[in-house]
Amino acid sequence: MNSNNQKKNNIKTPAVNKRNTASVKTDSRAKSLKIYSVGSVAILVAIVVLLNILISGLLGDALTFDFSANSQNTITKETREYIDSLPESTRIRIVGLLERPEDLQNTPYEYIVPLLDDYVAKSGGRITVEYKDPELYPSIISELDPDNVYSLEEGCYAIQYNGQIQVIDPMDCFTFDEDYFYFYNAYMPISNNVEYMFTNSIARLISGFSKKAYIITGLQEEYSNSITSILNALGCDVETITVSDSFDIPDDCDLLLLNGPDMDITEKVMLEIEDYLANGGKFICAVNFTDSNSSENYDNLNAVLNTMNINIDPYVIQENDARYMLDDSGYSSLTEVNESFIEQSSVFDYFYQFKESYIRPVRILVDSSTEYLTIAVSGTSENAVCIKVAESGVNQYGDAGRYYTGVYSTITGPGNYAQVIAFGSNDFMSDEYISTYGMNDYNVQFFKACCRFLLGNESNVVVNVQTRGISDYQLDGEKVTTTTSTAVLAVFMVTIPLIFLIASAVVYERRKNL
Amino acid sequence: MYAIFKREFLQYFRSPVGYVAIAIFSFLAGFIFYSQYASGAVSISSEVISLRSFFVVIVPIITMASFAEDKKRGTDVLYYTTPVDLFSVVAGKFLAALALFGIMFINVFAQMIVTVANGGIVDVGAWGSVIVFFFMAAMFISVGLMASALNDSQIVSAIVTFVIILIFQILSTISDYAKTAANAVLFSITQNNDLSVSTGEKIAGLINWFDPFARTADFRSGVFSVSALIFCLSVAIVFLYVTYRILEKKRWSQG
Repeated sequence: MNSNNQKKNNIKTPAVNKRNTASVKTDSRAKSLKIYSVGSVAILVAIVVLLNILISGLLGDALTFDFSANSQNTITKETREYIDSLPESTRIRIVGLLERPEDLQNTPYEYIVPLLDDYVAKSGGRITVEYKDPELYPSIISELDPDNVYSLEEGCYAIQYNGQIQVIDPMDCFTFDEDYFYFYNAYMPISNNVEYMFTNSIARLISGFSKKAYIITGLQEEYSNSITSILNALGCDVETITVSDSFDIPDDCDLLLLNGPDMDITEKVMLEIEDYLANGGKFICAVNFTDSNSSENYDNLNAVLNTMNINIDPYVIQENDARYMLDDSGYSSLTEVNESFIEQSSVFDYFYQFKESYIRPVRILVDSSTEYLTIAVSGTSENAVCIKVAESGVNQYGDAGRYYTGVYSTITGPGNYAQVIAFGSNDFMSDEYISTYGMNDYNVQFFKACCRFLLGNESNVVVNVQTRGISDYQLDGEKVTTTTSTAVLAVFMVTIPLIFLIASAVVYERRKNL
Repeated sequence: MYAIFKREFLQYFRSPVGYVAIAIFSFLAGFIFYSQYASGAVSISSEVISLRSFFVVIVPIITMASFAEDKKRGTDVLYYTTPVDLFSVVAGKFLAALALFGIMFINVFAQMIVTVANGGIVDVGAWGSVIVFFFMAAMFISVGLMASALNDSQIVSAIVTFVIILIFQILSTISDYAKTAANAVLFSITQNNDLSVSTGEKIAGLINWFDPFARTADFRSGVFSVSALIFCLSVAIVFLYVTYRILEKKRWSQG
């Protein structure tokens, strides 16, 4: 039995071995094919990743073509030449105070985000752009603006260079259709100034402040931190001059400001300002009517303003037209911008109404003077009155009529280009007002426009970048009617899908039994 | 390859799949177009960009049956027994699915004509969006084919395709979460804000590198980036090759 078993085993063993040998060969082949398969996929993935890194890194710019309308997303030759002219070590940091927007359509960022990417791509490392949402990175505001003078807000861009910053609000990068705003109370952009704003802000930061403004202090005046940051943003360095016996207005003064003093200026200051204006100086002053200055007539200040055909009267305006009144007393009211003043410069194009309170009337001394060009900046309704607050406590009312709340004046003769804007309220320049209503408030924007107008910032532009048109996807209003809209709905949303659904049902019905 | 392409393309119309896909696409495109038209302003680029969001629905419908159905019926044996290169099979099915997208898009071309006829514009950004749409369609179709080749269940294929495309679509969100998480973890370990923020940014940047939606965003504005198209195309090639290897595996696999 044992020998028989042994024989059987002896017979079977070679066959089993043969099969095992074949199996080992197949395993080995399958294993090598598996290695080849996995390896080839891994190699292909590696090649693809490397290829993409190389292409986007080395040839990304060369293989990117801007076919957009007016090349909206590409910086122009002027900007490119300016950036190329900067030393290679220049480091300009642009920080968008928001999450990088993904859906750009119909937002101001549609024209900003791609253009800034192009700045980075073509700056040779001089410009970087990053997006930091202040909610996620609360320290970014204090990092950019440690003294909190710029009122950095979410959604803005800050351009930083050597510790200095310029702030750009996306809404400032566009020109808007005034009529559209008037009728629909919505902004309709008509031109794109994004590159203009960014390039010139960069240029201002790099070349430093090209203008100088002085603020008169020492007269119990308003704090001027906000207007300092506004002027800095306009490329204007700001210093203060304190009233004293040695008061002197420096020769480099491009703009002089007097911001809500409770006391009249001294005779020394009066003479200095007169001298400054006689030499073509630019002067903005704002004086309102408060408990602390109600008895002040500002005789010396008026003596200066009189040389420019302006007088600030010692009254307070009370508005009586309900359409203009902002409170029951009528001391806070809406004032209208004078159209003649708007025509002085395109920087005033957007303004038509302000809100002001406790306003002193600002008067034009001689209405039709040939020596001066004097224009009311803003005024009340026809039903306002001005009130003289007497020491006895009995108020004296003036005639009802339209009172000016701000006046602009310049001398028309040759050789002297002195310009003065006098406001009868502090609601354009005071820290209190600006901190309450913010930098985007209409009054504050108007103050910025006045500064630009007087400083001649337009001629100060370092890089002459043209504004561009904006793609208009509007359809012809006459062709888009309720009927055509319904037809579009019926054809594209109902009929076509329905035809294909019916077709699918028919095909399914015919083939279900196959 | 042409014979396979022709057979696969016609197959879409011999079954309800092609018609249903076109019906869904037409409805979605029609809805977006009507919304814009009724508001008085039509941006075709915006419409096409919006349509990219629906790849996650359309692509699984189109590709789920490509290989899975053949495997289920056992007709996949023909790939290995007929004198046809396997890669031709993959390429034929891929091109057929892409051609179906072309048919779907006739609807959008008709909407372009209506837009121009009504005083609107079809700017270069619109054409850029269309180009990107097809490159991304190619990429996601290749994903769908790979998912279909992986198993013999159409439902599983559709789910796998849906998940992969969804991941691509939410890469930017994923990168945001990763950034925040990395930032928080690193800050708790190192107490160094700059290090944690920069590391978070790098991680987000790495994830975003794979985001085809972000890479191709500028096309809508009329900025054509060839490198973005190469990215889509190369990803499509990788997935097609993987599909080919999965099919090829049957020749030598013992499992």
